[in-house]
Amino acid sequence: MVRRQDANLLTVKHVTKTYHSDLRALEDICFSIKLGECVGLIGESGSGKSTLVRCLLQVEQIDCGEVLFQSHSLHNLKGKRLRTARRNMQAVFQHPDASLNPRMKVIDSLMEPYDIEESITFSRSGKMKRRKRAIELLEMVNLPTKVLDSYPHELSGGMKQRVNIARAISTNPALLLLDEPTASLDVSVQASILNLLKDLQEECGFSYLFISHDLSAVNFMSDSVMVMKEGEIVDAFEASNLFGPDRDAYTKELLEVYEM
Amino acid sequence: MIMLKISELTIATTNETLVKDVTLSVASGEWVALVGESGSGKSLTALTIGGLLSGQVKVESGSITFGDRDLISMKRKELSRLLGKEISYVFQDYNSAFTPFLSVGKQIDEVLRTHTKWSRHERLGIALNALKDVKLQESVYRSYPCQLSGGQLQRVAIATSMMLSPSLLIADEPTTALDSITAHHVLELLSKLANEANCGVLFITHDLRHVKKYATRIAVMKDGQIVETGTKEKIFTNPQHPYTKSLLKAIPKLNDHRTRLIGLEKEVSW
Ligand SMILES: Nc1ncnc2c1ncn2[C@@H]1O[C@H](COP(=O)(O)OP(=O)(O)OP(=O)(O)O)[C@@H](O)[C@H]1O
Ligand SMILES: Nc1ncnc2c1ncn2[C@@H]1O[C@H](COP(=O)(O)OP(=O)(O)OP(=O)(O)O)[C@@H](O)[C@H]1O
Ligand SMILES: [Mg+2]
Ligand SMILES: [Mg+2]
Repeated sequence: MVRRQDANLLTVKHVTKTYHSDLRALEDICFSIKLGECVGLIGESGSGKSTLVRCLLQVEQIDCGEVLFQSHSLHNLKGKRLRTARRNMQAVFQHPDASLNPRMKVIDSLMEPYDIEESITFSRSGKMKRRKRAIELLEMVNLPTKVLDSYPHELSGGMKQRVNIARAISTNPALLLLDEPTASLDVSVQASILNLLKDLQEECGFSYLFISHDLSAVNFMSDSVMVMKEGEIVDAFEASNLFGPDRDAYTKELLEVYEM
Repeated sequence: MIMLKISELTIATTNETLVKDVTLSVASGEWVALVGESGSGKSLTALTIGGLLSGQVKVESGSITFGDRDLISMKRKELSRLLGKEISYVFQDYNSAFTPFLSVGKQIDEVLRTHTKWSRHERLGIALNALKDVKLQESVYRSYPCQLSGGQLQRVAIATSMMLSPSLLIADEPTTALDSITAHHVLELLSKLANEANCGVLFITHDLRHVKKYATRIAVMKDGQIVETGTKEKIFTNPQHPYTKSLLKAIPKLNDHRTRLIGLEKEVSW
């Protein structure tokens, strides 16, 4: 796949979102993500990060503003266009059960985006190909094959998160929205997952919106960083300027407490 | 005084041993951190204390005592009187710990009603105070779980867990959805409340910064077993087990600029 290096993959213009008419969850949000770029998003608990993810995915309606993905406005997409857009934008939700159906075996939740994509036939060879791909995906996130035939409740918190990451990368999406993807992973598994995401970024040109409270993870992953507080982006900068003197007071405090 | 004592606990399904010979104790006023590999059995061990294992997973052998009472053989009814009052939990899966169609306030009130004889008015006061302590607005009391952010819901769980001054708090990854400032505030609060009540804390976390700050003792788990225990000082300065060493080595730092993070040597994973 050829991906132009300079163009914006995602452009968000003046997006505002209000819940039950009084709570401003997002206030005039503007930013963009370039092809192959990782934008880190940090900020206060309750500041609107997950809401932003849901708005980008069009799961939640925005009040006003615009979201352009691969140069198309996402609002009025239908049919094939919408499917293509969806296929190219995958998410790992903050709550690890959000994409895992409790009554389905892990393999079926894991392969859901793939199944839609390939419109797989349940022939013997189709099934074998699918299972082979599923095993490959699990290996990428350090999970044993036996997980495929388990149910979600039989997995630990960190194992579920890894299934979700495998699910999100399964269709080679252009953009991954990662909402606290490694929150329950021990440092070593986290390291291998973040390294994997970096590899995918470099080798396949994946772009990321990487939301995390773990500032070292954000610092490692991101090319640029945005900081949210009370529905607004209060600071945005190149990751190399994390400790720069022109950081917002709130960013400085986040860093200071983190390093204590 | 030892308050919780887990001895040679083995947990298994019909075809697999998940936790093997785990021995661990928590004394009053002590903050024990249980750290280790994802999937190593930390949450299962924690759930077993309150008799909360489900489905095919069963205690195969071992004992768990709380004070002088044996928890494994304890009757459901007696155990449920302890849970939420003397022993309280913050679950890793804080989201599923709430009923989706009841307001957060109703769910907090239910805990208070079950364990106290306080009036409606008193209960409301206690609940709102507990929410305020974790930096949540009063409006949260009337919200439904789906209307709260991940970290707001996690803070409701934390507030609820400390409301009745338990003597044992089991906190499984309690700050995964909190920014550094809020996490710091909440852990300081937990530490203060635990101190006041001389409460023992079993703190499961992957965040070794928090362990360093709050724990008195550390137990390291891998593949269903505890591979090393010791005081915080000993584990951080003189780790013995190779897994502990590699965990400590993998703690990421903010100010280094690597192109790849230090993971685990391959033989250690699966
Ligand atoms: N469905 C909803 N209805 C009403 N209010 C909501 C809803 N979802 C979120 N909110 C509110 O919107 C605000 C932003 O929530 P959001 O989940 O986006 O925060 P967040 O930045 O992801 O926080 P965290 O880091 O704690 O996950 C919060 O005040 C929350 O209570
Ligand atoms: N209901 C169940 N049935 C079968 N296996 C289970 C069940 N619950 C947990 N397991 C398995 O037990 C092992 C330990 O799980 P546990 O949730 O205790 O891990 P953990 O140490 O808490 O991990 P994490 O840090 O990822 O939360 C895992 O391999 C998991 O797959
Ligand atoms: Mg969130
Ligand atoms: Mg766990």
